[in-house]
Amino acid sequence: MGLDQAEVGLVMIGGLIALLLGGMPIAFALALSGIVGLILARGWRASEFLLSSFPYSATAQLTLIIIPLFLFMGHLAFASGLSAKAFDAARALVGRVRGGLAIATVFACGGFATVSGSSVATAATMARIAIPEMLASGYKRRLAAGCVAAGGTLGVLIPPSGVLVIYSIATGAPLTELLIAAVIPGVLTALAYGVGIHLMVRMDPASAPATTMPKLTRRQRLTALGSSWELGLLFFIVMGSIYLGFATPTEAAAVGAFVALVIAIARSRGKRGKVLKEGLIETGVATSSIFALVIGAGLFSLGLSTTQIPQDTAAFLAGLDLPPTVILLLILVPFLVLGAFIDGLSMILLTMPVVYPVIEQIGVDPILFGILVTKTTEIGVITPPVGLNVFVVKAAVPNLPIGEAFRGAAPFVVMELILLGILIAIPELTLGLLPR
Amino acid sequence: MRLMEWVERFHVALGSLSGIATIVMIALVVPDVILRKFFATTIPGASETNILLLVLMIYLGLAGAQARGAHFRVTILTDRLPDGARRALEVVMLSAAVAGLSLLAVLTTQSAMTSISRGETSFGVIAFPLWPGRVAVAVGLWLLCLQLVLDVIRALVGAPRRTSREEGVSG
Repeated sequence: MGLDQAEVGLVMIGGLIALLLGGMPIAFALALSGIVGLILARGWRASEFLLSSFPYSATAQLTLIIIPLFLFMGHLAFASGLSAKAFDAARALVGRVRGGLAIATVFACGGFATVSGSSVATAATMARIAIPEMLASGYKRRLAAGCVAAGGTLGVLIPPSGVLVIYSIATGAPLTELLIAAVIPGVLTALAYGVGIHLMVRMDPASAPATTMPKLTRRQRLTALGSSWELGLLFFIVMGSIYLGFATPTEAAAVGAFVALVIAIARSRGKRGKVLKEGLIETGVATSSIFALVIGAGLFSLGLSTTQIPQDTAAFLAGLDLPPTVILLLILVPFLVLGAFIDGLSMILLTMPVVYPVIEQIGVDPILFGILVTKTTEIGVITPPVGLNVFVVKAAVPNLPIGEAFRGAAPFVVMELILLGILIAIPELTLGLLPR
Repeated sequence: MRLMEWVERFHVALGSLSGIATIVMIALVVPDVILRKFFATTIPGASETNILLLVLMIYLGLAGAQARGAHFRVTILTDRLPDGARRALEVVMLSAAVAGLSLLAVLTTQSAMTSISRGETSFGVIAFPLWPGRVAVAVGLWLLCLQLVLDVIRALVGAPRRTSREEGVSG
């Protein structure tokens, strides 16, 4: 073939973009451009060997069973009604504050996020529970939709987190540290949303009428909080055992899934079979589609790394002699744009082969970068045109125009950008909990 | 068309069945953790079995996920195309995917046959056979190709997808 390596790289990247725009499933587009690139760059004999073993070796790894285990745990927690309990507890805690139902919604999302690693699943779950209640209390549709769409992003940030698992697979950064590091940024985001909603309601009192909720005694509040003990238990089992070094993330996920199973069996009397069957089917399908992406991205990365493009890009950026923070921003800004078109998992798998060498080269902490990327990809799910969470929420609110839903999410995008700035400025917020 | 529906149903059922592997994983890992922490021992072959289960789950579910439309895709451009152009593009894209994936299927089939003939096993405490996993990879890729061919035919004749599903639950 008459192509030099850089040209092969351009063919791969150009081809990938064309296939993606043509609507080919992302996983297959990655695999196809990877296969073609590999053959062009290395020739048939070397490629044949790599391609025949890669689909097995990329998946036959014990640590990867964490993905179905986390998915299953999240589904069971939802099916056991733990999300509704989280909302009741949060409402008892902050329901009487101005804008309290919206704040409670965000906190409940945060609570449910402790067992769910998915943004869309968290938003979908909370939309069904919290939105009817907010609308019945006279909240404006825009606020109701916005706080659920944004609250859903906590599902990914607060561990367990599907995106962090994928980031760890794509970069080799240790998952234990990533999960621990995500805790403070996650809690901080929930608190910032709460304060933000309170301020928004004070500026526009018509968006949320004053509460009619009776004042609860301390005992009643404690009872309401206590009723969501299962969520606390699951979080403690999973994150506690990871933090204390008692178990690996995979083992912790298995134990968490087991406890969630016990809770689901106890809580879903009469429809156990249905809950279990749906949970297993959902887990199977989601696992296949996520791993299709992982395998595709692996093939793409295999092809691309032989073209030297990632290494050259890293060397080029490092040679610019810019401060690491500026390069970091240069990398994160395109993520904001990209996140508006594709989901977070695909985006991370698509970009890490090129981006991660740069991060290593300029000396940004890989754990901090993982959290920043996760946060950035989550901005994408609440911005147009693709904003998956907003679409999920729209489906739960009768007659809500999609534009109105996106406007509802807009203030949260501003909060996200401010938070992102804070996390970059104060790395200790992310890295402080790590046992280093 | 009847045959197509049966094949598709088979793919979806196989995908659903593969979810059951999750339960087996839990049943293996949880006692394994307890044994390791408190009795300083492990279940022999548990890790190898879990790896095999994961491979089975992923590859035997691929075709079903495609049949349910669960693989992520970018639809920003294709959504704006008129019906005819969209179908034509779909035929081109899916055929290209079949070309690439069938190459992978051929190569992994060779690898599976080598593995069987050599009786390939893992280098662990116990010699766990590796060929079932490799066979699952090849079979899964062939079934995925078959499903994609069905989807090409569907796009050609303009038949709507029988089973459909909302955007994936992950992300």
